[in-house]
Amino acid sequence: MAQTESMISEEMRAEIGVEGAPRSFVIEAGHIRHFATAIEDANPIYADEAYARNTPYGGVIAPPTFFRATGYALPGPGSRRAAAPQGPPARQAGGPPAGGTGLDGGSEWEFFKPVRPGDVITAVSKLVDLQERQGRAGAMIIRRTETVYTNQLGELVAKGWGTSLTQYRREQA
Amino acid sequence: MPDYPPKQVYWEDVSEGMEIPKLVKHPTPQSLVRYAGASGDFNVIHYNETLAKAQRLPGIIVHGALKNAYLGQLLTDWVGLHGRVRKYGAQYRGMDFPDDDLACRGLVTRKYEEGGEFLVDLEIWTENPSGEKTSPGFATVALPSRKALAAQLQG
Repeated sequence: MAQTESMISEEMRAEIGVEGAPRSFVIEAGHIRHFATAIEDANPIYADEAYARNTPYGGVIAPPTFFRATGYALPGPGSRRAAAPQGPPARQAGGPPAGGTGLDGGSEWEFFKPVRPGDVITAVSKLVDLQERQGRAGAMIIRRTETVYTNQLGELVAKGWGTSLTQYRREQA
Repeated sequence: MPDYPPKQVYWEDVSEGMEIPKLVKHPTPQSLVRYAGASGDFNVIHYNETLAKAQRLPGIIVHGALKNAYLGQLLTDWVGLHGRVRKYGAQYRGMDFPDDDLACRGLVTRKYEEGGEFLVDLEIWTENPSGEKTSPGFATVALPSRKALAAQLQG
């Protein structure tokens, strides 16, 4: 049997650290409510303006992982996000080879400012790490992406890190 | 489900090793469909059993990101209106299935002051009905301090 070749090409490796094009999206109150309902979080800070006005936030805010919804909401021209909904927004050019099965490996967040309806959030993503594991069942490519979110005032609102796993099953003998 | 606003926890109330109030979620297949719609994550493994099995999964599975959202609620419910979730994250190590209870839990690992803030580090996780930690994670939150509030009032 031939020695296993790395599935990570030089081209893929060259993507590490390269920022993708900025993507902007408007935060909508209805989308926040829809998202809060979907995660079954009844906190009125996400839906009830009268309640939220009398809190330290002074108005409705988005739940912490709402950014997760914004990446998909914006499939711009030529975007393949809708077809490959795995992990946080990432540049397709640095994507894994075809034929694998995608799995979400995890997410981390750091929050700096609340996000409110009407905010215009801009996200910039880059691949920060690329690893490969060879197991009995096949190979796995592990991609870690960092996304920086800023608002319309240029303020840093959050950072997110996502790990996406792509499994390539070896054919059973 | 807590009442809102939740009772405010203060930094002085917290001790290392204590567990924070558990949040038990019960995602159904409908929850996964709702989350697919709200998040835009339409991966078929979350709502189409035939296609999920074709990918050698036992059935449809709960979105990792939905578990992450549940852990977010565990934290926001706990820190209340005057606390802030600074950072948190989790790894999706084990699959979870709809119609199972999914417990979100957290343990305080460290309590400290830094840069004028009153911070608490936690180990957080989701737990399946067999007691396995399916999404181990971490968090750092800032809490209001009675001591600091009293000092502000005197100052």
